[in-house]
Amino acid sequence: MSIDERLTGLRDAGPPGDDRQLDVDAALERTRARRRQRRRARRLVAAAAIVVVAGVGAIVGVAARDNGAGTDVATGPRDRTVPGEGPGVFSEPTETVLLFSGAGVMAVDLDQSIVGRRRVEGGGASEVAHLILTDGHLIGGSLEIHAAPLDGGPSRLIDVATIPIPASEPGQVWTLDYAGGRIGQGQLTLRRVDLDGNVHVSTDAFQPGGTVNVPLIGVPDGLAVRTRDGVAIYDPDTDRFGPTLGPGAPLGAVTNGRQLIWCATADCGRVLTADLPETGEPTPPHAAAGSHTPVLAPDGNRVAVVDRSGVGRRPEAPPTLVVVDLATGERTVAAALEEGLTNLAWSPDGSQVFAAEYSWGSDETRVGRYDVEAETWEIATVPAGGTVNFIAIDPDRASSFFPDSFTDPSECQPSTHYPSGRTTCGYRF
Amino acid sequence: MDDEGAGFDALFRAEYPRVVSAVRWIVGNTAVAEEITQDAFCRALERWNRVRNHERPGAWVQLTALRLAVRANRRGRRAARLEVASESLGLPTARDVDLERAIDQLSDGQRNAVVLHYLLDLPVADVAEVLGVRPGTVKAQLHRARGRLASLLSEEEVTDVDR
Repeated sequence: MSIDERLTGLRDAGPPGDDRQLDVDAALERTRARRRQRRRARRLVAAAAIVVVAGVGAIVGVAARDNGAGTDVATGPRDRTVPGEGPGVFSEPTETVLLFSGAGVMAVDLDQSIVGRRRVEGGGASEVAHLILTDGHLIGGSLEIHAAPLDGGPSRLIDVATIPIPASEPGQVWTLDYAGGRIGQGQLTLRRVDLDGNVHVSTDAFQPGGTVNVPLIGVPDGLAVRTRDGVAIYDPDTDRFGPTLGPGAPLGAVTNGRQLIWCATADCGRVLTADLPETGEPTPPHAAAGSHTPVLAPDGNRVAVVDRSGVGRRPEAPPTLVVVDLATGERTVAAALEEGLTNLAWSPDGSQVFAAEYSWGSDETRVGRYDVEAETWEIATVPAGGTVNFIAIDPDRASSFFPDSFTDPSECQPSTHYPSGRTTCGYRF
Repeated sequence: MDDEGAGFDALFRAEYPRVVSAVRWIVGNTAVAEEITQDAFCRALERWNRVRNHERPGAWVQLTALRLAVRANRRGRRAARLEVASESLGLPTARDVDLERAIDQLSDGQRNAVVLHYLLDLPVADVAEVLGVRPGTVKAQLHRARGRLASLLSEEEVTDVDR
């Protein structure tokens, strides 16, 4: 008897275990009880958030405007219907697509409830948090840095280096190439390359170590670097550091080309900003997303951070989503975040902030939405996961769903047609 | 009871035994299968406004339950599965004990693929969705699993996976 026949026989015999009659009524009651228990747990989290407000306000030392814990208006999708389409993830249209790294790159259309995936070539491209969105391309990879055009086509190798970090120059990235292959190991070569792999800047002069740590982010004609005394700007042309802009040992920073913004502490309880010494042309906000990095609004006037300064204290408070007005220092506690919702991104129009769950191997991803005007907060669960360690917003357009995501067209899930006329290769949930 | 509650109850009563049975293939234990199935239905209840409009709400629950089962196995319920699978050997039903043992010797990925595809009769695309991998990966796992099973059972495999 062949293996096929034996497997068929085993299938017909049924699963292992006993075949006792199931008590469906009792199971139904247990399921409803489980649901009530989860709902109570969520209410407890929301109640705990109220404690956060006062605590965080006292800690951060900037003018805080207390909006309470935000309103958890949803734990699941609403009955909203986009004309001609199915229900969206949230109660209001977002017109955005979230891009995650993880198993390749995952795109989730919040309005159309569609998930698409695509693998970005390059060693470790799927695993590291160093994905960068610039000029219609996703830049990612470790050791091999690839650029993947959002509108399809294959990823292409642009540099062999340890990691990429964002540059102020559109369509370019800095790459850090450590001779030892790991951050901080061996001699460092700094390069700035474009999407075709052309090298615009290359220097071996900058050798961090001891009192100088790795570059944080590119600024016009230079790099913001964490030093022993705080944050300073390195000029690769002169191999010199400018004056220290401010204190702190930041893990990440964000810039709009005119200002540099960073968390002065690892818990982001304190956000600092400084004008760049050589004010260049304003550039679009850019940063490597991460849970320790402020995320700048598109207008460059506000940042969103995950403030974890209450975590681990007594009484312990959950992490909070905080929006800081850079002009006034006004600090708004937008919402208490369930643990793990630490990846932030602004909507393209600056009206919403999204927080995605840091997910490791889960089959679901929780995503929160803060409406800046309405000051409401809601959470939805997207039935797609993998390893989510990055979030970026892409306007809803045909390029977002990676039509070349599967090499074999027969592997494409049933095509989904958008009102715009595009056809996607993904699945609707 | 409102229509919403009645709708969920009807789905539960209609689908619960079938989903428990499917999950039992993965975890090999009725109690654990029931727990996972109830968790899946609980998630359906939390998203009821959407799930009830799903083309096949029962299929949604089953896929969710299978994902949870695979995840539970990864977290260490494999031991429970082995234990019960061994118990099942004593049942008077005619079962292919050698094949069950051979399946248990496969890697987690191969075993899950075999169970979902061959024993639960899911197409490769659905298996990929449950396991969170690409269809090509599932085909590769099935191919390797069949080779391994053939080796363990000293048989020759005869066909390729193509559905």
